[in-house]
Amino acid sequence: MSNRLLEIRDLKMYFPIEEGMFKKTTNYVKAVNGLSLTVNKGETLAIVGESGCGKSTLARTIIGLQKPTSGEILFEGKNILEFNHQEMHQLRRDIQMVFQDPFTSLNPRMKVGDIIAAPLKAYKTTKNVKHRVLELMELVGLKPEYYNRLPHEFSGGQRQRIGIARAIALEPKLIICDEPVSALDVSIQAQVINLFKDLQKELNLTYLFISHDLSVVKHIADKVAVMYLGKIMEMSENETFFQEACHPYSNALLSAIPLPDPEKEKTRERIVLKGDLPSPANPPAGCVFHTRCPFAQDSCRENTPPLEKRGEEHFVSCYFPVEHKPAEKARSVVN
Amino acid sequence: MFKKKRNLLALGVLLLVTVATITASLWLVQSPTYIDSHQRLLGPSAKHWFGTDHFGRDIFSRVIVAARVSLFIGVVVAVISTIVGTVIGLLSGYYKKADFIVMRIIDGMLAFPALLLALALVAALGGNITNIIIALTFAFFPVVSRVVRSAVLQIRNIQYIEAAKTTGVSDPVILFQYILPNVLSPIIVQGTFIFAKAILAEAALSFLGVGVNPTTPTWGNMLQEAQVYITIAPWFSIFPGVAIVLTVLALNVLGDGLRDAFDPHAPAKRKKRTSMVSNGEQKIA
Amino acid sequence: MLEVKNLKAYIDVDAGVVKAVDDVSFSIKAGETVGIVGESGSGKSVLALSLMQLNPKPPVFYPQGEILFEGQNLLTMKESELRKIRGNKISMIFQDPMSSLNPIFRIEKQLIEAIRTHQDLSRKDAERKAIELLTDVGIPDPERRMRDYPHQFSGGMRQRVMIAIALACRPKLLIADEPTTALDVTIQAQILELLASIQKKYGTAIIIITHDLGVVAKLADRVMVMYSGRIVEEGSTADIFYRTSMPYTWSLLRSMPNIGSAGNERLVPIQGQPPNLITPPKGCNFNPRCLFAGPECLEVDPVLAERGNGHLAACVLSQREFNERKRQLEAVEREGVRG
Repeated sequence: MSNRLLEIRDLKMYFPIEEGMFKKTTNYVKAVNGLSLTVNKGETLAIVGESGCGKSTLARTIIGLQKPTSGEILFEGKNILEFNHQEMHQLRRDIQMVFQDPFTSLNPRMKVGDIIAAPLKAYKTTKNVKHRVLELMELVGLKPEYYNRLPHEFSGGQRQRIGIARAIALEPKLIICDEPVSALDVSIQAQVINLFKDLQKELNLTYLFISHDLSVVKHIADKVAVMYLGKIMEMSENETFFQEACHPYSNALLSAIPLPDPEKEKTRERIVLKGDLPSPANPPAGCVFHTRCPFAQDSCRENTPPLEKRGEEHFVSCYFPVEHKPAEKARSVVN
Repeated sequence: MFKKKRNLLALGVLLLVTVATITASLWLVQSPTYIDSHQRLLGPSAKHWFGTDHFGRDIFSRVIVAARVSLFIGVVVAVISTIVGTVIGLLSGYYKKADFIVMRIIDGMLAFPALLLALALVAALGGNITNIIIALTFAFFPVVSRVVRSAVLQIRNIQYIEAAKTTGVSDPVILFQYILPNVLSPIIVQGTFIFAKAILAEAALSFLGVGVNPTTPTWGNMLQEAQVYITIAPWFSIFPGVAIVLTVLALNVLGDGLRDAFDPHAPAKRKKRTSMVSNGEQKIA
Repeated sequence: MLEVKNLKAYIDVDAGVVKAVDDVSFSIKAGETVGIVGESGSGKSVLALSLMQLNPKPPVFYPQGEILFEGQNLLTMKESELRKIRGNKISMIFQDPMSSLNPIFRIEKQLIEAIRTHQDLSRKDAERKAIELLTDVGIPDPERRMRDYPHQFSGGMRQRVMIAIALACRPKLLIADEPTTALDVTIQAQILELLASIQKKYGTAIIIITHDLGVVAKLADRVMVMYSGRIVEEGSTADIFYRTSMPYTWSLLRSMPNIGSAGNERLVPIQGQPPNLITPPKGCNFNPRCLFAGPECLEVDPVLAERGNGHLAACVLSQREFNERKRQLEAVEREGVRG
């Protein structure tokens, strides 16, 4: 059990909806709604979901940019929500974040060297800051002559490298990556994904990798967790997920991704989900997915399925999980 | 920004006035305080370029020397109220808890017209340069703090500020090294406008008789003295008036120029892709 | 139906002239779906807007070329004539449906206006037609939803409305510029299905512009790959995906994360950055990033050449040479992995 780096227990993050002149709270957006998960040391857990599922809120809550409504976040066994200011400051050394937008996440008026040096100066970890910054720049594949340049001189991919260098500067134990490649071009995405993998091997990092793109996740994650309306629908190891995901929503997500292969694309059966994501202010009763689920029964509308163990490291929250492998299963839906 | 003739001209006027008034004692032929009772209320001539006043003093010399007081008050008020306003704006924009109380007080101050507030303060404190500076600072800093606060609110949630927080950078460093440089441009622009407004306000206060000691030549004092003679000696009012107009106009033009130069949406720095797409969409709609 | 001949669209910026579209020729037949694939900065969006003559002039100018639509050259046409074609015979949908809809008018008003601009219909008939269109694009309960404002629609629904507006006049050509990039995958799947069904029902030719090879594989009959303002490969979808002839296309396919691939395998990225279009590299634009670039590539700027059956590629390597080099490289890479 000492292998656990991060454990989240029944986390809830509600945002009040205020209406009228006197800002009366009329309802809550339930961005994260009773979520539990575990991240082990040295692994990459990918959180996958569509926009509005609460995955970015989850990231911001773990890193401490928001105070959750209830629940526990245990980092190395200690509940960080009970930390005082001083302890929180020390914790920040261990948890770092890489942001989605390489354009807004770097201060436009600071030189590359100063951006990467900021965490080093904040914790005074080293006397020779410049030496360390150059070391970090080399590690992420930035040329030393970029030290005195400004962020706007760089393309998205290189900016993201700067952001990664900043995140690893303090040798953190956990890095939260919030859609780190989704703003990048296809040919650049692969460079950054490989960089993440190499750094993980070299520095023994643990990633919580948040993404909407399952194809990216497939190439980086050890484990995959699917999120929908603030809850985990399914969680399993990478290979298990891509071969025998059994939550209907996981299967819908998988089959919605167009393959860069016209033959497979034409012959493949797919589950096209009806309608849109329900509002997180009024999530459906019972299983939150039942409004869009092709297999929903009455019991799904009344009761909330628990996240149950199905196999080694495989958890599903569904009363009627799909039993087959995705390809066969999709066909059975049609027949 | 100095590619534009307008801005260059404005800067020229300001430099000229400043240099002229600082070096005045070195080159002025006529002393601004020399009284010649035989030469009262003379029109402009080769000897007295701007004519003479009711004591026979040379108006040109007095206008030049008066600039010293006016510019001094303008600069000091601009600097102090910008600094005070910036600090208050930064704090209340960044700390949500402080924001509510501070901004209600600022709103209260803004509810009074700036000049009236200054007038009341000077009337209470007594008219000398220090008090005028204090009064005008009180009148102008609320505007700056409002502007700074709204700029801070805009960038407070940009990711690089959050990124700094998550890397453990402390609040004072975030405020002064991350946020301040990014809100500096509206602050500088506001500063120039306050400079101009302070000169006007000082003139107005002096004109109303609650300003700087009437024996000190300032543009406002001169106008106040000249008003009696406006029909028989119009030059007495015109030249100090022109001095005020030129200086204030130059400052305002400069402020506009700075605003354009700082504006990221200025046409000179157009960004190819974003602007094109949005134009295309507008045309469709 | 649409024929583009040697089109150049340049952009005048402070730093110089950006050759966003540089000598591009192609044609679109009635009723076919053509994908234009490229990364950001490849010139694909400028090209799309050129077809509608929607690029702001200045800074964009057209030093050369013709865009022939049903025999008429759009480049020399007057604005008033263009307006008769835009939204009528050629329609366009954009990436961000929110900024393409006017937020202060009801959907009803915007749709009816679009219908009545080009068709002589009474309000009643136009309204009936509007409901019909909304039903066609899959908006449930159109009579009621029509009275809503754009912000009351989700992103996917807004894109459906945009498609309805674009289809209002039964255009012969629909240009879709990254129509699903801003949408979630499950919604993207819905919109792609919709475009395919519209294509079948109305026989509209569709140009779909995207960075996503998966979208193209799903929808397109024919594909054009753009790189730094040029079309570098063109052919049937099968040609592009299975008989790739241009190193850029091949590298792009290799670098794409793909859930169809075997396992959690390492991607092979394209090294370097896309070229600066103000001062493009000498010779072939792709040579600084190409794994097969030889001395010849620094000199020769290859043009599109026939590779059989309408499959065109711009590369100095012949198909056989390319296949040979590819095999060698893959063998070396496998060795590397094992070693």
